[in-house]
Amino acid sequence: MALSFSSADLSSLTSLNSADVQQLLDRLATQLQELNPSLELKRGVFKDTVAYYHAVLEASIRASLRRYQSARSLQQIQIDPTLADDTVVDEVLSNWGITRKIGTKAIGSITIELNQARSINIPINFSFESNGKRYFATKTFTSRPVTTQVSLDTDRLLQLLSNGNWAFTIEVEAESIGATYKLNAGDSIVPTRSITNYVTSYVTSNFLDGTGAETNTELLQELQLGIAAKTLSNRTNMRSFLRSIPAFDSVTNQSIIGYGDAEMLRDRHTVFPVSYGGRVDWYIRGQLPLQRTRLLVTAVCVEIAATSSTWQFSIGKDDVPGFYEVTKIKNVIDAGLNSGFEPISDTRSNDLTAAGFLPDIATVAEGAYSAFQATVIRFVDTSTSVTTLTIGQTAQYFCDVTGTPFIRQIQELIGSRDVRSYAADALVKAPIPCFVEVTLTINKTAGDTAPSIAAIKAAVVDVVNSTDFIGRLDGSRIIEAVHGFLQNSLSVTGLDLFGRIRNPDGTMQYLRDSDSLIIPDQPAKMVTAKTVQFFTEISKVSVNIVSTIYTAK
Amino acid sequence: MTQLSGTLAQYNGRTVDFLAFEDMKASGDTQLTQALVLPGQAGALITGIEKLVQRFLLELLTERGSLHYDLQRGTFFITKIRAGMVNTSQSLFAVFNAAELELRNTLKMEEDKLNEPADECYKQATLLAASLLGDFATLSIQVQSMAEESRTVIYPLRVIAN
Repeated sequence: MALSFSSADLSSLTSLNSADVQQLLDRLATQLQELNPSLELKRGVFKDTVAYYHAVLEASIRASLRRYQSARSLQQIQIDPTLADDTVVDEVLSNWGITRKIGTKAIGSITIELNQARSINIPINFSFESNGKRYFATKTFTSRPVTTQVSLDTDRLLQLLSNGNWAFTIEVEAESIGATYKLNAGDSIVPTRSITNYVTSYVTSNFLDGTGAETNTELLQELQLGIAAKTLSNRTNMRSFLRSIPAFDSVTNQSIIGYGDAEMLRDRHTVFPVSYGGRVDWYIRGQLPLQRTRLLVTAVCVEIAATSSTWQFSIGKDDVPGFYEVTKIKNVIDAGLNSGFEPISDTRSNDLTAAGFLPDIATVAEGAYSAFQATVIRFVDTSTSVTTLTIGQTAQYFCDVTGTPFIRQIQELIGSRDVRSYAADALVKAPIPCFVEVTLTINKTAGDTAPSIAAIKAAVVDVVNSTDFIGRLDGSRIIEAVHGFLQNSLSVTGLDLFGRIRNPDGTMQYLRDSDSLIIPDQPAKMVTAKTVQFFTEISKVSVNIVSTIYTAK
Repeated sequence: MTQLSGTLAQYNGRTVDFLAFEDMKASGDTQLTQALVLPGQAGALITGIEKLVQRFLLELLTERGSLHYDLQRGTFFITKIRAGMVNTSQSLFAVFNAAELELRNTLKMEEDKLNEPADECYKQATLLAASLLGDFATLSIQVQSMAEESRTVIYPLRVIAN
């Protein structure tokens, strides 16, 4: 509840601290007794009705006052940010140019496949679920079999797919604010009620928005950024600059590597093996979850074997700037099916052909995960018939790519003449990824109700994805998150953490531990605690529930 | 309407409470009005056995759990009646007796028998007669203090309203 003394709001009279009310009542009775010794104040009408309700109202006023006092100054807010009233904190911090980030709901379009071309009504607020989270139709949408029936923007024309199904798209919005509601293209999302002739549904394109509201604690941590000048100067200034741009509200963790850092290789481009400064590598996590993007690419057949064919396509620097890797390639005609191919080679390069200011990038590794990265992908197609296939023939494929957003936008912004440092070049990079898989077992008795696996997975994903540039993912933090869902004698065992680091040079490093994943310190590869971020997804978390705990009778 | 009133001398050395149930009579049946102050009148103070009877009535008629920060106060007397558990005179007796046991503990626990007048300390209450007529229940209750029969009824001390 917003604290507003002008409208004489009181704290809720039913949520006061019982001990506070009793203490006030006792004090009131004592003081009134001293004032009027003949008044019955141990019990009776005066105490139980007049004094009691006075104590309740007084407790409410004092609770409001406490909340105000705890938020009226930075000193008081810092003592206990959770107690301070949000409105007053906002007002105090606005003096230093800090504005609370208001959370937004993730929004995006989903594709619904039907086995018949017919008009289907999806009413507003019709709900869908994905990974235990709910999404609602933003309007009442109607599928239309023929173009002449399309008259409103909510009329959606059915498209015939190669698998014989008919598809139409609708827009949905997350139930609540937060980055955990963001979905990637291709993610499964299912209706909670039946739809006539329904076959399947999935996310059409990556969801937009979806950011969490800042808590008082988080807001205080940003205080220094509000005071700092928004320029590309020191690390605080740079983070402050980025924070001041609303378009990049979803940016979470950042690490800035510069002069004197062992990971900085770009300032040693001379015959002498010394750092001369003037270079900045700015690692930015554009959003909490891993972003998956689906590209439509044209591949060229480069090799034909007895039953399979090898194809090749390129991803330019502007297609998915700073991407991590291609995870799956699907033939367009099989798009609705689960088949897919994985790359057999991924040859990265740097495309430095743009006009204007270009950062100093000498090697492929230096430009990896930046807006200047490009690649050539090869894969083996085992489903396309080779009977009539010829070398050089082209075909269209869907290509799923992982990454993090805003790499190009931020690079363009800080590379512009007015913004960039006059003495240094800054290269924006997506953090070096460590893709994490988590497995754990929850033990319970036969009589215990199983906890919500979807909620546990979501909590684990949140812990992993929100880990800052600290170079380690500790199992205790994951177990702590899981324990929030456990009751009675339930326990967590068998934690297994598996990590795969994709180094900037394209090689892989694998980490496995039951306790902590610790990033190796390899500054020569630019792989250290300051450059690596952990990423995981719901599908990468396995939670096993077993009834192994004995119940004593 | 003539109202009964005590004298200042009767209140000397006693603690007083507000009168919450107006229209009491010296004898005979009476329908009490729950009000601290009636229109055109002033409030009144009470002491002695009147204070005890009022405490008893307040406790009996307060629904247990209705005082948000004092959940142990009151009885389930009204709760049970409201729930439709009373449909005969016998059931009214049963509900009253259960409530009397509940409130007896509460009232006795808050008393200081060594330092308080005996006529303000609760002993027990008995439902002498009960009848149901439509939506109305008529109760005849005898409240006994620790002073037993030796009591002086001190009427409310009234202030003339301007």
